[in-house]
Amino acid sequence: MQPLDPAGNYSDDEVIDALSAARGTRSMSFRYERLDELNNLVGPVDWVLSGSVANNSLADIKRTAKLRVLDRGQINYLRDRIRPVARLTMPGPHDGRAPYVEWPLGVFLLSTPERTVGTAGVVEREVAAYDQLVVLADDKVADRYSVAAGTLYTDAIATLTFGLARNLVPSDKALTSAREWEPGTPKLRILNDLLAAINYESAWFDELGRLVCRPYQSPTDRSSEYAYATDDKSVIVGEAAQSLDLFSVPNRWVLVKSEADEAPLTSAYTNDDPASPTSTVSRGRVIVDFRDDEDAADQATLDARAARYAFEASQVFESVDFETLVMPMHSNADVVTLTHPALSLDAKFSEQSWEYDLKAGATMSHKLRRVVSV
Amino acid sequence: MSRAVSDIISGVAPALVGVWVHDPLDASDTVRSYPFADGRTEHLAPESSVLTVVGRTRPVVEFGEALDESLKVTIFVPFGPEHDEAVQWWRDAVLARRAIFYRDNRGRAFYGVLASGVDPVDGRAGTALAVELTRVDWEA
Repeated sequence: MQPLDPAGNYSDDEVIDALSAARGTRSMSFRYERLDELNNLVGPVDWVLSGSVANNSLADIKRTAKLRVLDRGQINYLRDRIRPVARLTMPGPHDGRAPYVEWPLGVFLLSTPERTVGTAGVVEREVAAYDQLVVLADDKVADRYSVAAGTLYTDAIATLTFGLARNLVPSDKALTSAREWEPGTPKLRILNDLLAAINYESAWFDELGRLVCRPYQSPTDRSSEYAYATDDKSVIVGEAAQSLDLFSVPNRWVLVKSEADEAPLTSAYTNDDPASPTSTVSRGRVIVDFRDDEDAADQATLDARAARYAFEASQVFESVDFETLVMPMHSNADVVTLTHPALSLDAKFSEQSWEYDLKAGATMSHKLRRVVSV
Repeated sequence: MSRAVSDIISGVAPALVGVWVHDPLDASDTVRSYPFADGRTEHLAPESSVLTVVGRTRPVVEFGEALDESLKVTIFVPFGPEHDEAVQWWRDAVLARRAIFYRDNRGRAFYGVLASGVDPVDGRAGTALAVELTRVDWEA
């Protein structure tokens, strides 16, 4: 999640009070910035009529937007990028500080859809926009792409993503054998394969347009970044829905890494926690998820991956959909606490996806997955 | 270089009566005054949504930055030598599809658009024009 005030002018409590309309009202607006192909600010734009933004932490291209724009011929769809910015007006006293808090909402590349003209003669476009992962998804290697044995994974990632602004956490793990990808493989696939091999999160871009490559950390080990509750600072609106799907959730994971010139590595992880409804103990039987095409730097990475699969599969069993006022500080795969007595919920969740319209008075839909220990 | 200094004249600036309008792109040639204007009704409302929040007794109101501001006024143009030209001014303003500048003797002054047109109604003594101006931003 982004900081509650990225500019650091206001305390968390002040921003939370404003976000939750503690004094009965809040004022929210959105503006848009035009960036060049290197994400340098070109200037503000006034031709975006409306829009929406969404994030799905499980999708390849995680952040998307839809923008309705006036087409005055001033948009270079091939080069221009758009960064929406949410602005929350802060109630006084401001004490010399900016009277608002702003959050960037991502850097988006634009598609070039058909133009439409209404009866009033105004030409508009409904533009689908994608974060910069689309650059890596569209960029396919022309020849067989290989990374030599002994190369540090993060060096290989740096080479692959050369030229992109990034936040790459170094790792000392190196490839134990050469790895190759077929011609035509998207660079995003190669990148995510390399990240997975060292148990990093799949690639995503932050709100300022920087590629984030960092070690995966289970939500159980992460602290909650925001607390939603139906209390006097509630921002929860509308209905909430809770769903359970216990049927096919595995309780044992077996991962095998098999290379021709190496001894095979095997890792097994069993959920035998009596408190878990899908565990071998609770079910009374074993459902195995077997994967034999894994790439991992070493045994520890393979073990960590098995634990990660176990965690991710086991949190599927409970998901919650609910809506709030727009909370623009959310990022990718945030961890939040939800307290909703009507649904008997008081737990930590990971945010699978969210979406909202870029207009005052809009609501934000959240899809959460239950964080459980397996 | 020469210069001339006029005599000092004492006087009172003419009072603004009724409604003055002009096309901001051609102020000097389009300015007109309408001394008989009545029934001015203002509407001023910020963009807002009332949201019912779970767990709180009273709703939350969220405001946006947009401001919906409009003015309704009925302008009466008596029959006379200037009648036709005075009524035609409003027809031309509607057809031009541009903002006009509005001022009145109550201190109102803004750029507005005749988005819903005008409704001239002829009577025994002249023409009444029901006008609704929607305030807009205007950059010179």
